[in-house]
Amino acid sequence: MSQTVSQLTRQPELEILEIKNDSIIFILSNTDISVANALRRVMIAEVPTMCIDLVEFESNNSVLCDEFIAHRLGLIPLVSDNIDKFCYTRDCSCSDRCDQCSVELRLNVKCTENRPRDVTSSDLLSQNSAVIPVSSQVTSSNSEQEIPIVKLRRGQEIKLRAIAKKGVGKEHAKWSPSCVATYQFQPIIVLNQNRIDELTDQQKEEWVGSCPTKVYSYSPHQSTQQVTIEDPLRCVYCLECKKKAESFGKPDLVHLEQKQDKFIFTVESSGALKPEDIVLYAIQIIKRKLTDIQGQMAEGML
Amino acid sequence: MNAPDRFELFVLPDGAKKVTMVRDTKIPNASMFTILKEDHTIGNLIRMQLIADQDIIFAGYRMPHPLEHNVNIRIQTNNNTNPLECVQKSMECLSREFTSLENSFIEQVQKKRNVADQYI
Repeated sequence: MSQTVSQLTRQPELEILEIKNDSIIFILSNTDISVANALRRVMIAEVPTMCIDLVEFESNNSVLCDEFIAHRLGLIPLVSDNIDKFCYTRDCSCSDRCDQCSVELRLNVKCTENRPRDVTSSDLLSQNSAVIPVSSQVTSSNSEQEIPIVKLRRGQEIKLRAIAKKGVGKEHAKWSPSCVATYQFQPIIVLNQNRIDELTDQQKEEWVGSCPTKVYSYSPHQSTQQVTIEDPLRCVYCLECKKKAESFGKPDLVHLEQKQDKFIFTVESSGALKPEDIVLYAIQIIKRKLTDIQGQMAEGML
Repeated sequence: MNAPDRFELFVLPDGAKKVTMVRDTKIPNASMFTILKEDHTIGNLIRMQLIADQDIIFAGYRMPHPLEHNVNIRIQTNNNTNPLECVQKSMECLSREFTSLENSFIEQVQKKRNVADQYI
């Protein structure tokens, strides 16, 4: 008879290897590649953040034109930890914009010195203290660099009002919270030590050196197991080691395979959101999509 | 100038139904589901879950045209069940899987944070 929901539901396992301020590495296993790929796609293009989307210039006699400066402003990542409190401008009930769907930032700089002045992201003043440029955050290990916007010479001035809105990377990449969101398979590498022992010392050294990412290591001082796998995760499946082995006449010296239900994710944040929040939002967004579609199906189909 | 607005990728027009189903008139137990404003993220997810079900004879998806942001999922089942039940079942499985994934992730993050402030 038919399989039940319980029988078909997988139980994915998760293990976090590393969390830093701006990146997270975790292992997702016991699930299908479509789940991993959906997670990756959503992290890149469907997690919302705040970004400058409208710029009203009052004064600009710098060397850069309005459009150029507006584009550069749009690429400055803004802290979006409170993104849940905002709604999209197109969904908001206000006529134009309000505090619920946008944040106003002002830039007002004039150069009065003889030396050129850098206008940076720290000169952007936000109406909402929770939505500020990432580089303006005060952190314990603050080594953030300010983002330069434009240089002004003496007498030049720039005065503008920027409106930040909620958006997703699908609409414009500036809204994407991830710099990197990738996964790789767990490589399975099996060395045939009998075949390796048949090689000369020089051949062993050459074979180990054939790997461009240095997966293998060679210890000539040891009497046995001179060639070992140093770090399998570095493997990029270029198969250079296989080609080298074949050129030595030993095609079965090494065996490479990918474990197809284990995914090692690396997510690096632009700073707009914490990396673990990016993953969490992605999971919640996929759940919401599935729930929406299920709900629509429950309402009279046909 | 004549480029379509980007929000057409994901904003459902007023009055449009998110999901529609058209029964195949020539093949028994076969239907085509159309999901508006979705892409390969959801299409591939649902298709792979459907394929895992033994009652499914055929399950495939496509996006008909890059300017039409819809996913068509075509399903054919055996006589034990019907396409609508199968899709609902597979989506229930996926929802449960992501729920357990979310709980597992939150738990792991808490555990990792408690270990002497791992932040660098």
